[in-house]
Amino acid sequence: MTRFLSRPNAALGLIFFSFMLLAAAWGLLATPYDPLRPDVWARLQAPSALHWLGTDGFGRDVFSRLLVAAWVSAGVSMATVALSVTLGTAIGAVAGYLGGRVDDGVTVLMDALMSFPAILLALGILAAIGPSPGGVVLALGLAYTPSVVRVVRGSVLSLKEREFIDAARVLGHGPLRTLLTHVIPNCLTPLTVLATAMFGNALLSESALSFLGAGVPPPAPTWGGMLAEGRQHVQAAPWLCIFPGLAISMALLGINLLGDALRDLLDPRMNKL
Amino acid sequence: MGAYLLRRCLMTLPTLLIVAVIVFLLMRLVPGDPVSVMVGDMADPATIAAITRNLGLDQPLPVQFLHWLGNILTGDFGTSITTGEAVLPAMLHRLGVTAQIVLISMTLAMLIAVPAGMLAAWRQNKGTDMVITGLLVLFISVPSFWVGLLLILLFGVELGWLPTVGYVAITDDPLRGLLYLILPCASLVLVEMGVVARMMRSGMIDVLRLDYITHARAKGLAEGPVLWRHAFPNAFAPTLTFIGLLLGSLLGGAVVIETVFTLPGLGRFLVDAIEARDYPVIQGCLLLVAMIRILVNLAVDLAYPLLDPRVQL
Repeated sequence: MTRFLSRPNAALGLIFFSFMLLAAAWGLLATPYDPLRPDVWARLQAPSALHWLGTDGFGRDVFSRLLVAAWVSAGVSMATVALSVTLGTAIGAVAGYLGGRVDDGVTVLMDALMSFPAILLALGILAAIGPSPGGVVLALGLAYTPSVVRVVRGSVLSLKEREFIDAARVLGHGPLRTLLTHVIPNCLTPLTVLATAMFGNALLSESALSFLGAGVPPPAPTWGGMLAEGRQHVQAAPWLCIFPGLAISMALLGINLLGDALRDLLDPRMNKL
Repeated sequence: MGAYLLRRCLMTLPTLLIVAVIVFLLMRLVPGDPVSVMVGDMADPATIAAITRNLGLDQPLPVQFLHWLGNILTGDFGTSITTGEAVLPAMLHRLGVTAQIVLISMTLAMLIAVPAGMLAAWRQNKGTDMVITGLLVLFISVPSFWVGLLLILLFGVELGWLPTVGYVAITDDPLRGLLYLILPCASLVLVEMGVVARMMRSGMIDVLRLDYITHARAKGLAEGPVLWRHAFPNAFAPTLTFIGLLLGSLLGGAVVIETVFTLPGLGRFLVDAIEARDYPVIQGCLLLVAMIRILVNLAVDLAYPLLDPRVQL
């Protein structure tokens, strides 16, 4: 752990990412203003001592909304990663372990899902089921599942031939027990690297979907939704376009730096990015 | 070689079929009856029944699917519910706009990213490399739609140099058309540059470790020819595959950029269709993008041996 944090990009990434976690925690506990209550007398006010980052078109405090949005985005992204890792690991492990027809079927299905750019597949799913936080998790979770399946299936295929798996079988372990206790723990390294990257992608995609009005519906604050609103007031209130984007970028920078450092550490063969 | 080509082409068929099934089923997920969604709740039951019969929605699902697929295969993607235009020509028209942005920005990004990635790899772990990789990680962390908003704020609102919304076809008025494309392309360039340069750098580092590079240096060849004539072709092959994959996903990224700059591209068409619940257009756009992506991947796969002679088919 200390070796990990002594890397400059890991330390820097952790600092940036902590900002997001701190904001999320703050947003969860208490905010300076009610992030949802409109105030017609305080519309589009520039940043001041009263409203640190100004107010939006409904007179809501931008800083309070940013804090709550951190919580919303972090929650949605984490749930997305959890969903796709669970689903992808189960499908990938079964397909790789069983092989044959099941494996062929899964591979074709995953190839088909991967032919859609993730954000378009998510848009399509959300168009069918309607915008909601749960919908975003489901849509993005499904869109990211094929990449998890691919990684887990690949690891299982190479692990399956190894002696310790045969040993487990000889000892009388059933397929499920072998998968859970011997195969999946050995996939954890590539999965961790992938999950970090997916967390960043989920965060970016959730922002983009909310920006398009297909993600988390208003009045719940999201960084993407706040930018969409800022776009309408780009002349009168430029700060509405600046701070939410800064928040997304800082969070993503933190995650990307951490992800690079993690990959360097866990996969020394790739030690070059 | 011929057998491989044929097999690789045939392999895309099941994928295309499953893609069609997914797109078809997706629109059946819509809660409620699609016809009452289309015509509104006010229509009387007789009208709804008539439309249902006309659209063949009273048939069993597999029959509906085959009917729909048959139409698609003959180029009939249906008609838009909101505008009444045929979906395929409307999509192709808008695809032109999207293709311009995607191809221009990708060309610009490659021109900068490939030398930058090579330079970083050449100076690996030195100051230059640190600066470049630091910038690259920053580029991939900044969402393109935010860059777009900032560019609008700076060049449109503050300086008033460039138009911020709208579109003029380059064929109608080349100069003005180009002006409208500058900001959208600029917003996409940063992130593309980041991804491509990172890929190029890692490919180059792999190649620079190989014996034949050491040999080229040992025989006294200058660094320029070593990098460009010996290392570049082998390092560029994987990057090119990656760019092919990236082009497909850029069709997704263009959705957001087209919304920021209100460009009449394919992405904007899809987003508008989602707002209007125009299901034939949504299905058409999803299907078209997936098809393009599958074909681009096929083309990249088939072109790979031309770039990298070590790969035998």
